Amino acid sequence: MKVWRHIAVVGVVALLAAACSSGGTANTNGNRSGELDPNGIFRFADTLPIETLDPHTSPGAGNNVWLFPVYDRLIHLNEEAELVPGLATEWQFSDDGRTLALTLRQGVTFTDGTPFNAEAVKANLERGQTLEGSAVAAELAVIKEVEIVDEYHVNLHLTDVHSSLPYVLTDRAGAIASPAAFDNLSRAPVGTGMYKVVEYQPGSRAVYERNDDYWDPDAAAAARMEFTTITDSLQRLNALRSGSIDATILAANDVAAAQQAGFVVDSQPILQFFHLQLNLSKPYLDDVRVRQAINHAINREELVQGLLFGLGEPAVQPFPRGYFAFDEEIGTDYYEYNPDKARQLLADAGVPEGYELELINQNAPQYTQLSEAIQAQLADVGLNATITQSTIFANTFYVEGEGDAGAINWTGRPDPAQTIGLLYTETGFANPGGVTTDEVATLYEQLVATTDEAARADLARQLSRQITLDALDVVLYFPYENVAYSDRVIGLRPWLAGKLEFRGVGIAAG
Amino acid sequence: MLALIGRRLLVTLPLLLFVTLLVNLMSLLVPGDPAVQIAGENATHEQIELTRQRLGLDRPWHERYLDWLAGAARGDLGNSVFTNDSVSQLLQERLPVTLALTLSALVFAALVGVPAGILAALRRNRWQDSLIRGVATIGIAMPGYWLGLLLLMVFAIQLGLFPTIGYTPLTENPAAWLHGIVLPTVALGAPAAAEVARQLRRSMIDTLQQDFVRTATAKGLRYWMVLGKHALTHAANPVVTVLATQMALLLGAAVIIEKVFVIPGIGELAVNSVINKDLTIVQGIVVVTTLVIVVTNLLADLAHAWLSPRTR
Repeated sequence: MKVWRHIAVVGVVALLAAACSSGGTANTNGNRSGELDPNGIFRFADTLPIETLDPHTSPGAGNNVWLFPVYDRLIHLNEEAELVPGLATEWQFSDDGRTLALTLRQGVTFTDGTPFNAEAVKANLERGQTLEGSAVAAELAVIKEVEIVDEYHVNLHLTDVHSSLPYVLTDRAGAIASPAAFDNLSRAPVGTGMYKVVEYQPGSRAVYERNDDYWDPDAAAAARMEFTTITDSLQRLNALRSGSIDATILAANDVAAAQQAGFVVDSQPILQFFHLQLNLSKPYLDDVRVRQAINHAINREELVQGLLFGLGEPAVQPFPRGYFAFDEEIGTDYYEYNPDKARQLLADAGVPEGYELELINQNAPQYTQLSEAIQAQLADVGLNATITQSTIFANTFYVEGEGDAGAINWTGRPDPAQTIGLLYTETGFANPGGVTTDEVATLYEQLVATTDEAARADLARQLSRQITLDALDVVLYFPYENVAYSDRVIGLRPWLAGKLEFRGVGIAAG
Repeated sequence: MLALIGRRLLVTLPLLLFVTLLVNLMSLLVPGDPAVQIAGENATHEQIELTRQRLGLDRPWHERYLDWLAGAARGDLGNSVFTNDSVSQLLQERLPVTLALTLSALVFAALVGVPAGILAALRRNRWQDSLIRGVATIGIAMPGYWLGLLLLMVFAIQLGLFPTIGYTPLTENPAAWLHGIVLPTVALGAPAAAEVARQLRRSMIDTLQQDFVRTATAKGLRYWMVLGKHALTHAANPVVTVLATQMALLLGAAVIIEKVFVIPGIGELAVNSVINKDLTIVQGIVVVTTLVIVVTNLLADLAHAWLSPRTR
């Protein structure tokens, strides 16, 4: 009997050892720059469940990964998040900025055979504005009237000057679906996109097949794409290791293991950032010195090293290096880590030692870790931060206005004016106190009213600078998006806008 | 027998009323407002209010509950507040997956647990018995999701014998179905198999000591006849009870196992719906699971009646 006990113990230990050892073998039979397999199947695991394939009711940008292969938008973003032609080949604001004239791509048909033309554009924009449950109505509310000039020309008459509109039209608000399929887009999507959906399981899986008639013949490089939702990063890595998928997005703590197992991991900043948002309507936080003090109290480098294993970039402004709204002069270190300076600023502003600051925390490990790290750093400068857990951060912090501050991520928007409008203006939904400074308000008004691209970029940059100088926010870092894939995958690149589009992504032959 | 079925069905109705009421009341305790999420990430305060009105979230809970009941009585379990998908349709798509998984786990439990239990009883207090009891104790103590992760590590990632994710419907491709469902079945069914083995061992040992077994042996019946026809039928009763209770546990555990193996069953749907605060879906899932459990218990009672005529 004793012998068997030993054997049983040995067996369990062996099983554990096998499970714990770093597994997976490197994939060596592929070649990243090699020939494409025209019949290749590209399998991708996304991080979020897809609940609907209707672009107009889909609530978050997280779904774009699933939607954009099917639906072209009127205007597209390239990998650097700049405007490029989509279903509209040209777009031009009128001199007064109150009309956006679109020239549409000719000879395009939806995958159900319906022709794409001005009628279809009008039907889609009006659907987005009026559909019950539309999640894009707010973005499209600036369009007063859609005027059909002829088959391939549309004029969008606006309520005011809204220079963000071309960027808005790159997102779900500008997605164009077949009017003949409007009734059941959530399950049976029909667009003009490079792929069409042939199988769909809400919440978990979609299968795409190449649209052979697509206007850009190089876009659909794989014959088929299979997307699955796996919410846990380690499970995504496991799926990659076992060969169940070809590519996925990993959390920072799984990147090293993926590299060790021989996978390619591209880590790059996207427009998403983490920040400690302040409610400026709360005591002391209306004082710029207090906000600057908090900025100086944060050791961003330590946060990036400790929480992201270095896979991110410390930041003080709400846009990443390399993006047109990034202000070089402010850079990434305007508020260097300086606890003494922070203490001095707090003392100047009359904040008592041990002043209690209530942090609202979205109850999930990644946010809790961050809130606790910030709590410790604030304690060093004499601020006593308490953490209040919430399962519904947006409700508690933005709608109810509870708490003084909250550490959360901002997922980024196609246009800097959208990010600024939502976070840093008086009426912005994600500005908890609804407070801003006159300088920021004035610049923002100018930005919205300016239609010239170069002038807009300059204004966006000035705003980024002003927001940072006024310390409206405590921007912390831009985490890298870690795209991991086997070397059978060709053409997969990170997209600055943060949502992979899979244009030209395929599988190597052989 | 018919009376038994009739009685059971009569009890089911108030039971269903009670559980749906409970789910509804619990939803009042859950903080948060689905309207904030549904209105989209670029929504304004006005739009969130409009969304709330459109979904009827501003109406008192009992009104909404009675509306839902009226629909449910006609077989309409309502629509997802989030996507407006029909809940009945979602369940139709997903329930077969979960049932296939739980049933195969039950079959696994029986296939492994019954021979192990018999062997342990026959080799009582010898090494086979100790081994089976030891393994069974580990089986019960080990959480299914953890076993699932271990199985994935060893058999899917190290050895590459099975896929780590996904599910193929049985009707589509039986071989692929089997290939995909082996690991989740073992992970889900292992604790149940252990429980079956332990219960069967116990009741088998009791039975083997009873007079009728001795009589049967004394009559000169062959060993396997005594064992199979007399002892096992008698000892099987508690096992049927165990299997029936396990069904409820398995449906609960399937939630986690489906998450681990990325299987699109109602467990995965339940988790996503809870996160989205999509109460209508949660309610539909509760109703259907309750029904499955009621039916399972009914089947167990019928099996009892068949196994031991006394209870008929």
